Amino acid sequence: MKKQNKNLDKAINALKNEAVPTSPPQEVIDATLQKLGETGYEPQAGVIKERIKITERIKAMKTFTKLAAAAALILIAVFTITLLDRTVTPAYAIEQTIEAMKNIVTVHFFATDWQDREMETWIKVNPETGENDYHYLNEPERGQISISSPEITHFYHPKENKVRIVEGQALRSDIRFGRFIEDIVDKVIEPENGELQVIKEHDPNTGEEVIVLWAESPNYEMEAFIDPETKLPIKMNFARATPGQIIKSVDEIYYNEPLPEGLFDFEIPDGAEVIREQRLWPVIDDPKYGICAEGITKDEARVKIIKEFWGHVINKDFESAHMLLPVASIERFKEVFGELGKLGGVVELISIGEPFEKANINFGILTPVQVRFSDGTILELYQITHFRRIDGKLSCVLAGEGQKSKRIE
Amino acid sequence: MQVIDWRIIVKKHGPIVWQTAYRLLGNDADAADCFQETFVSALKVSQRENVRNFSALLVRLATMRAIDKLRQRFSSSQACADTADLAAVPSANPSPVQQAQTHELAERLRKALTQLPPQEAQVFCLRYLNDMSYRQIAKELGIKANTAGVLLHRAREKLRKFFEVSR
Repeated sequence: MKKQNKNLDKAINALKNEAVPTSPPQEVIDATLQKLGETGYEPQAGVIKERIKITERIKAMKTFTKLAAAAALILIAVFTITLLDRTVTPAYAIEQTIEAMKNIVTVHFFATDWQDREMETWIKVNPETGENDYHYLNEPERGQISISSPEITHFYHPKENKVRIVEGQALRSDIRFGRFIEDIVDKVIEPENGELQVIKEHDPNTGEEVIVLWAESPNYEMEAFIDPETKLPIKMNFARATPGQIIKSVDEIYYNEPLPEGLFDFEIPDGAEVIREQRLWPVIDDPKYGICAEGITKDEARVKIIKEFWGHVINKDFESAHMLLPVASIERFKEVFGELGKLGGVVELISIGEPFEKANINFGILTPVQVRFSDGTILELYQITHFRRIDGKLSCVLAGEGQKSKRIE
Repeated sequence: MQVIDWRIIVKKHGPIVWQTAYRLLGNDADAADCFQETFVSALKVSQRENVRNFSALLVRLATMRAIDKLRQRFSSSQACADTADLAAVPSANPSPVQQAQTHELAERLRKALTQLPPQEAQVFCLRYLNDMSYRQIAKELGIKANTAGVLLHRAREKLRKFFEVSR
């Protein structure tokens, strides 16, 4: 093996050390610029005016707020002076956004998910805690309306006249809208040694200054464009996000609009099918579900749980299948994979592909799995395997699907 | 929207894009196509999202395009040795025999890279040919650093076997 490794290393060195011209010929550069022009680029002079690293400032501010109560009075005085100071200078300061977000009562925004599907959201924020207490989420392309309160969440599928009910606030978010900056620093930036920057850019078309907050860590990257007047974010883009976050970009945001009457009240429509489900997070870390992964590699465990799951489904043993994939109800299994499903029951597990990770799913790895239904249809699904260590023992569970399944035949 | 002066971007990052493409493709014609496609792809990326690190983005795109081109090259029936533009590569003063052996090894590695899944090939090239760290690779590909490590390990294993079989 050493010899083959040596051959490979020699080949790497050979390729790496091959002499290559240092610059492209001028005609290649000219042709490229011409091609860029044909593709819609118009030369404009854009510059980043200023880039300020502020992570340390936020950290320092947060540490300061954790001091004893006596010191808090001093802090308030200092902070007030800072804010007063901002009123006499047009310069932007991150504290202005932090303060402005504390006064948010409602948020209404239009966003796009990771599959580029549009959605509309209303959030009722508790200004005292900054928590997102009530959610309304309409995803027309997905055919789902979700209404969530601290007590209960309803997922309504209008086309099928079906309601799924989950106890508690199922539209969870680690980031509270009313404490957006503080939570990003606390939960994303600090634990991963990331950074937060204020970037001031100059838009040559309008002559206006553009303020961008940029947060970056190994598992998170977000830019928020700040309204120079209100200091509130008016647009956000995520390259990587916290686990379970379905939003890729927030395209339009409106703050403190009056809530439409009855927005968060949900009544089960006449004749609707009602399914009660368990919440994702408690069940995927419940040791009674899943399989033990001790003494085998994670890859072996991944393949084992997928094989066992489909073995149960093919044998119509949906109770056992549910013990491996607890986030969906047994009724849902029967509906999708059982004989009563549109495609008939699953009759064969064809293949288990190579695992991969997805930027917005940090709680597991995705595996492409192909299964054949009794009508001959072949479907490729992307199952999530979630590994957890409970009482020192490694185990895994299937935690749903990470992206839309596709029909192969 | 991010405002970008592409003349500056091409001038500043052109050399690294050219070297990345040329190293993998080994000839002017393919490297020129790859160079152009890389910048056009980067333009499209910049129209969708703000780009903070053009150098890393362009290297990743150039690597991806170059591997695609290599795949096309080796899947066609043309003899791979004929496509290498040897005259364009300046001599580094080794003996003719050594030079031929080195060139053959490099060419075998190019061919072997086409046998890998695209993401593994990309991670391998970014790590070994462009000296990017796991974290930089992970950031560019939108994966975790340890995943980059796993992909790299798999790529090495497959390439090792390739060199074992094709000796």
